[in-house]
Amino acid sequence: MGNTRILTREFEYVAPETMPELLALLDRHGPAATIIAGGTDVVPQLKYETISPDYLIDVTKIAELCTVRRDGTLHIGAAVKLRDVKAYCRDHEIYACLDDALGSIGQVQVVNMGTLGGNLCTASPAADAALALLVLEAQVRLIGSSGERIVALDAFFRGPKLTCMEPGEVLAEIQVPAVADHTGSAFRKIGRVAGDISKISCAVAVQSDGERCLSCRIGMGAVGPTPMRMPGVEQLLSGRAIDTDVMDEAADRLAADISPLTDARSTEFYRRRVSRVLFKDTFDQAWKRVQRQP
Amino acid sequence: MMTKRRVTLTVNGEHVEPLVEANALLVNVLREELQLTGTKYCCGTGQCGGCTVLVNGEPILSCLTLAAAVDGADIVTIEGVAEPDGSLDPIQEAFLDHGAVQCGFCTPGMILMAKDLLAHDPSPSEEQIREHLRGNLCRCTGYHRIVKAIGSCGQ
Repeated sequence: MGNTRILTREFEYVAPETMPELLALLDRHGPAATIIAGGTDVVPQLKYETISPDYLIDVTKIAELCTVRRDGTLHIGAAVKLRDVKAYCRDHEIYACLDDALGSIGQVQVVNMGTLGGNLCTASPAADAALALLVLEAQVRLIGSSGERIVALDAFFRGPKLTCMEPGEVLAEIQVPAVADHTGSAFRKIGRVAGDISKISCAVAVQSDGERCLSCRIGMGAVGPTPMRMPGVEQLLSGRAIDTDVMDEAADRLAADISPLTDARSTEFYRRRVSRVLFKDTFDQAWKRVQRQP
Repeated sequence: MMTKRRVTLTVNGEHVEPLVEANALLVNVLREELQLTGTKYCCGTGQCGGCTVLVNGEPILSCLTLAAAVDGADIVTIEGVAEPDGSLDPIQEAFLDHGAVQCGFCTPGMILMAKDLLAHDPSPSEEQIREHLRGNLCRCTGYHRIVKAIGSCGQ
């Protein structure tokens, strides 16, 4: 472990104010450059010496990365602070699962510092906001000097700390499509203490007619190499009237479909056992939120 | 050899322009360049809240913040909480009255978090106080007296 009091690594700090400047810097410095936004992940990595950039490029001074706008689709700039995303979700209940997820991230200070783009680019299998965005079927807009592309979030994650971004590409924006009527969503996690990284997490978005599940999207975190959708369980529930037998059946399927590991935070056995309960609780909360809607 | 850059800060109402290296952390600039040692360096990895300062009114962790990244910011440290004449802030008085300080190492962070909470919500519930302080660790008090002290400041 490195020195946590100071940064021993020497680098140049650059804070471009426009996207063209940023892209030119990334092209010029290639792998010698690391992007920093809130710093809550990059600075500890510098201290632990798991990264060793010659150039640290701060993207938080680029205005277009720091705006939230909605035109049916919600566009969240990658460098928008988690606290600002949270404040937005508070006022718009259709994004309830994202509000839940942001509420469970770390401390107040971390929510003030961290950014939504940073949460995604870190690509932790346990990332809370990522899981909520997955069931909201979010997409990301990636920009490189040779153009831009839109990628569905489940294709963005490739493995632990691994994304589909090419060298020189930058995550510019997170796009959350309009949420269908009569849809409720929720996120829950189990951690050791409040604000801890998830042992296991679950997000659900369900569209209901009051009795039947018309369609649903289910995501599980920290039970595989990336935040995962559960297509088997989603299919099983679609069109079904929801009662305890159906939920037991779905929970069995879910526990069989996940692929948890034993690591420092929890065991494979525990994660599989608790996944059933966590899923049922999260689904129940999302379901109740649909019933509350006018 | 990294080049130093001059950053412009307002710290506790005072305009300062320290020369900092690109890899200088805000906590070290405050403590070593500006001699404001009230801000504590504790875990160094963003888990304990001991290095909390207010940047543009919001509590952040100064041990995970590059000084260069807050160029132009308005910063409040624990030294800026009392009045210029030395009279204590009501939160500081309440910490003394309730015996909420033991070793004192977490106290600067706790008081700044309390200021932030009370600025947004003048009469927080016990649950809201605990929620707001969840990123600030104390190894002495068991939190009870800290929570009581902050609660007593509510209107």
